[in-house]
Amino acid sequence: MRITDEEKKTALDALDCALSFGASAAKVCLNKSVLSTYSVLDKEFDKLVHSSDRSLYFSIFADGRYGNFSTNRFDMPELKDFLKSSIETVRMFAPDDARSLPDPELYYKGRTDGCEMGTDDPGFDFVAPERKKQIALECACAVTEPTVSSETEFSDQEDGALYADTQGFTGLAYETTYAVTSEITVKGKGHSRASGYYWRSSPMLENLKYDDCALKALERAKARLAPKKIRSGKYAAVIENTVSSRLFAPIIMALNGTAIQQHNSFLTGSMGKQIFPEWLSVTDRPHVKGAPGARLFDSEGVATGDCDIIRNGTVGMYFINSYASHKLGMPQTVESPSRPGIIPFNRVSDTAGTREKILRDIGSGILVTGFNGGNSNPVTGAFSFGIEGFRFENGEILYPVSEMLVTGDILSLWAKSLFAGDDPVQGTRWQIPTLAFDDVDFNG
Amino acid sequence: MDSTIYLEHFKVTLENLRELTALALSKGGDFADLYFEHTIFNELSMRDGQVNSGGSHIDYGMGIRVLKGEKTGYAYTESTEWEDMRRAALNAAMIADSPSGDNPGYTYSDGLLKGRTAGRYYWPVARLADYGAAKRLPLLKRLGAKIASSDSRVIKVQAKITDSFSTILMYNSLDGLSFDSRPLTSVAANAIFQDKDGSTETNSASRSFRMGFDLLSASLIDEVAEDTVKGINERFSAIRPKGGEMPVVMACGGSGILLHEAIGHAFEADFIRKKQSIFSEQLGKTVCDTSINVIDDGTLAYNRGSVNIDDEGVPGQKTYMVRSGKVESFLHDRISAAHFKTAPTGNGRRESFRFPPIPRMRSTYMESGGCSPDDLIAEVKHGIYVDDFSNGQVKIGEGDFTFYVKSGKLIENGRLTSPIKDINIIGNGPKALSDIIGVGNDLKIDNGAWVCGKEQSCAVTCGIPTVLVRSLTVGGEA
Repeated sequence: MRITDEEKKTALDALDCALSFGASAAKVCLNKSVLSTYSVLDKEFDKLVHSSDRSLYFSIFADGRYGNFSTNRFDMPELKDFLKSSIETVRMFAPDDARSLPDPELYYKGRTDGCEMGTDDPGFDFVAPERKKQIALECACAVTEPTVSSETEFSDQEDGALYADTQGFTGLAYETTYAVTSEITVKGKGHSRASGYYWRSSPMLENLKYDDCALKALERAKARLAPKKIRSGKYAAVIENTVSSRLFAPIIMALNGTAIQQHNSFLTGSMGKQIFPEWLSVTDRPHVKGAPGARLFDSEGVATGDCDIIRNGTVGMYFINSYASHKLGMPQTVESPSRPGIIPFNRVSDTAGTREKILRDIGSGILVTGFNGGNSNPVTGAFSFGIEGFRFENGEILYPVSEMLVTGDILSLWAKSLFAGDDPVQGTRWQIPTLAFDDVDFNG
Repeated sequence: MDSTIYLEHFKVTLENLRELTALALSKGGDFADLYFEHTIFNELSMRDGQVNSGGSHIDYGMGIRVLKGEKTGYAYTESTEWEDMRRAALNAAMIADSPSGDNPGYTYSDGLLKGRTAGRYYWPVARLADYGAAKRLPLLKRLGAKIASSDSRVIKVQAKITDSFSTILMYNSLDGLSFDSRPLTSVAANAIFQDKDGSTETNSASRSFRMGFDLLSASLIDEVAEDTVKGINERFSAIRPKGGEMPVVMACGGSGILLHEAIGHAFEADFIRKKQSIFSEQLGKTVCDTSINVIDDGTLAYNRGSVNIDDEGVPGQKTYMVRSGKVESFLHDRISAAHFKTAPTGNGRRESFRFPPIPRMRSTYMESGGCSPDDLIAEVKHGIYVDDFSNGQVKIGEGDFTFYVKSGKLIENGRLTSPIKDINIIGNGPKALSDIIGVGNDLKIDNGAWVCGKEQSCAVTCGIPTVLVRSLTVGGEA
């Protein structure tokens, strides 16, 4: 699946049309994707889904005004009518001089064929349906003991995006993703059930390790049987690398330029200030070839590059798109991180490491392996999440906990951070490892 | 309404549909259905006091599902050109190539469906899109101005009016043709407030109905504006309570999220069929006080969750999930209904033509009981009263659910005292249901823009009278 020359021509012709109908500038993103999923229920093939999508997203500037429009209709006469009416709509809005295309100096300047970052499997189109089905079945059938329910799914997806604007920027990017997911349910006491979920993904099929996925899900389900409620109190918390991004995401959201401009962020006014503890450093590394999330430019065409988001506790950047740049009077950056990661640290002993290391180092507390709902207040940073996990003592996991909540605020939580491991999950865009925090409020 | 309009809209004939269905069944499938959709979505946004952005989005296509026993093959295309639809039909048909195991003769709908007809719980009046942005602009400006002038601490207002109109045509190998036109219009606002000491708070409100431009009256706009600033004084002075297990009084309306998360999902019959739900073996059994009735309803006039017909062509219905404390029905699509040899309940829904239908809730609520809300509060010595919520979630197997409380109050010695905010509540579905020890006489459906995210996004609503739950775990200071 590739974006065809005809589709590219449609997108570029549409930009010309927009200008001819009175737009002062325009941007288009042509997205095209193909996805298939093969699902196995209780070791029998259960569901097959094939999908392919394509759409055109337009940002249109006219008479100092702005609007965004999308359609999956590529027929040129129909597209012309759509653009004409879109521009008429834009003209009804109030002028907004903060809306414009980016400074062309910020654009990625090279030519692209979409495969520069090595995130697109060249063999994608040649994987036979039988092979995909076989992967799902092999993975599911690795579990031999009885379960209440066992669901395993193999999926493969290729996404292509063409970005172009009337200032001459054109960029192309492709990315493939192969994934296996397993969810196993086992019977507990009475009517209760315990379920375990596990997944793996990779941009390349040859790197997808799938054979143990259902087994891991089973292991996690069985570990959840017979949970106990424990007393509310302050405990050390170890957050497993599979879910640790949940406590990191509020920071990235709060660094978004639009949130800053709208005062909808607990990090408003934090640029250049040491807000976090000195041992916390967060980087963005967008040019790791073959890694999920790697990219040369963002959706406005702005070139990506290595950067320090937080350095020794000091906020190093906001993510400022062209709109927020004008509104805030600050220089434009990439609009969002590509592959953010935390530099490992260990405040308890000398070296970082993995989950097991920090459990031993801390000795006692609660290991969080999943979040169940909850929210964080973007303005204050206050959060409260349901969790699932385990009580551990002397570095050993004792029993699962049930109906527990963790509550606090993001800045206070990170001020008491103890550990960031060197074990982020491969196959994810955000490289967030196992984390640990001291004195966390748990309610049960 | 005449089906011809719908056939012409998608440039197909009845003969085309029969032929496509035959192709879809050509490899041995038991049932096939076709789902055509054309959705136009419009939005108009206000930021920094100006209506300065908006847009339109068009989505067009059709999906084909083939069932072989309980197995599903699904494919879709973004065009209704014959060759594209033919290819999709053959892709979906591939499911029938797999061994299907025991097939006990699925029918996908039984005689109980006969005689049921599509409802008229909403209908295509004037489409919002037909009025253009010009008619909506003054209303959005009014909303922004009302909020800004309501409280001197308002520093930012974001507001939005969105509308969509979906033209839907369905055909299946059992019941033939059905069609629907679905309007959906929403108004939403969010405000940021800053106090003299520099502290900030946020509040939001929304309304959403299956209506067109006729929804948008000045009084509705004023109602949303009032709700956006309502309770902001309490939010500034609110505390986080000491957490732990305690009685919880849930205010009428949005507290219906308790039903959605605590039992609604676990009643969706795909989870029951796969034996994953904690309620899997509870049909016909008493699970709570006999005064309690819980309903999932697709028939409320203009309600965001209502369906004239669901996305499998099954007429919208009112389904008692729990009647007089006893589990009466799960929420079925055609697959689970066939599995349990019962009639589908009109809960087969999907986000768009890109997804196969699965059992989903519509408007989920509890009927009023006999208690006065004040009496329920008076019964609590130490607990909390909660009245504003955001997202929730549930673990189907364990039954553990959570939802986030944006605001409420402490209850001390039977009286509402200090405001509270930003806490999560967690409980276990069957236990929470059996722990409801008082039901108020004030059922209210919350008409906010609720979205359920089970695999696919789906418009829903919820409602509840004031209820007293004996014990739930409340997040807070340890």
